[in-house]
Amino acid sequence: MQRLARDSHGLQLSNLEKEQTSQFSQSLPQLYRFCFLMTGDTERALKAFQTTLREAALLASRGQLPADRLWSFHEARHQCLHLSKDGVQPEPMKMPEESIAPDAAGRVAQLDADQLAAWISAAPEPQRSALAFFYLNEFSHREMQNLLDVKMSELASLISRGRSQFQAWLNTVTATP
Amino acid sequence: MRRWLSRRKRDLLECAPISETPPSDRAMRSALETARTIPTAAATLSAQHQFDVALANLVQRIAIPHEAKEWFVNAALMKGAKRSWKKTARHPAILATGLAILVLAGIAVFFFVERLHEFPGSTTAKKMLVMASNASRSQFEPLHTDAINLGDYFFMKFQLEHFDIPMQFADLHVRGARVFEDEDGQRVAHVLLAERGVQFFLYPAERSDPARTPTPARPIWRYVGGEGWAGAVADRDGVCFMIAMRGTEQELRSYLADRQR
Repeated sequence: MQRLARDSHGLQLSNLEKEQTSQFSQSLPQLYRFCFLMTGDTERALKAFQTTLREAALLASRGQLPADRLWSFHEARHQCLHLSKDGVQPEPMKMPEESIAPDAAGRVAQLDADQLAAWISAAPEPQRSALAFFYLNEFSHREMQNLLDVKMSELASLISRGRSQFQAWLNTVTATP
Repeated sequence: MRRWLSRRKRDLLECAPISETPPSDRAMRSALETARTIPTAAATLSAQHQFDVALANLVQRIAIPHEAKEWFVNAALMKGAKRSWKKTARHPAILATGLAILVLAGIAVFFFVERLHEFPGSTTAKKMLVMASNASRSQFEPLHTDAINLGDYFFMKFQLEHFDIPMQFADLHVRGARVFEDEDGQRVAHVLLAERGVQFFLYPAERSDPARTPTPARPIWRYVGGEGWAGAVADRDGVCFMIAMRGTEQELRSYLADRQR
């Protein structure tokens, strides 16, 4: 009876470990996409992605890798910010804003992912991170607040302004569908 | 258009989830439900949602390079470590909280123990101990009698009823006595004995309804200490009798036990 209970406990633990492992590995494509949106460049995105995973591997070897799925994104953001520190910085300027047009989805369809990444990566912090996290469609608003360490109103303002600015830019680079 | 909604709900709608799955967050669900009941807000929300879906789809089209894919296989071997309770317990925030709770518990225990020694009249008794330690013979009216006669003395001279000395101290010789008013205007009888380092006090008991509290057959002693003196107080007929003795509570206890015999 005791052996049965021990086996069942062992099975539960192993299932939990599998779940944690699969959760981590499943989030990797999104992690790369996040790095790409943050840097706007494949080479730098790869570098941030690989550095994050090396750090994760190091922590895992010590048994210190946090089970929290946000950890890898938090670390990746840190790496991306570090990498882009020496690169071209966005100039502080007032970006034109326009409300969302009914044909916005059609205009977005004319873009490719690289253009979107280039636009997001050129946004100032923390708007860049907020937009990257939001359009990954991976996190709840509470998780995003946690990742960005901002209040709800700030997060809303970052995303809302980003939308309006992106719409204004969209109107200049795409044709009416 | 969204002015119909509260600021909090407007903020939540700006971060409305892109996927069609109902959000687990109650506040977000409520904001979405409210917005859907207002036509202008619903239209704006729908346009925003289409815009967000288009961008999220575009993000999902970001190609994953081969170099990144290689990591996916190895990452499957990595697993997050669940924080052990020992590690959690060592977290500074947990340690600080634990310490604060311990300190609060210590203070609570201290006050509880303090309250255990408290009884009606204990504050007055402590003041009497201070007086006992500072009393000099010149403050007293000289008397040469046994303690048993003090009840009559206080009644006859000061009209103080029930200011009797318990029988166990009846044979003690009295050298002096005085009556004074304390801070509350209550009269206190102070007796100086021939026996050095022992004094008596008699004062009205602090009691809301003396009639309801029966006088016990044998005195119940309650102890106080301070100023190098120990005091034992017994309540009888609405009058507190206190014996003050230089020394510790333990010494006073053994003195009283001897007297009892």
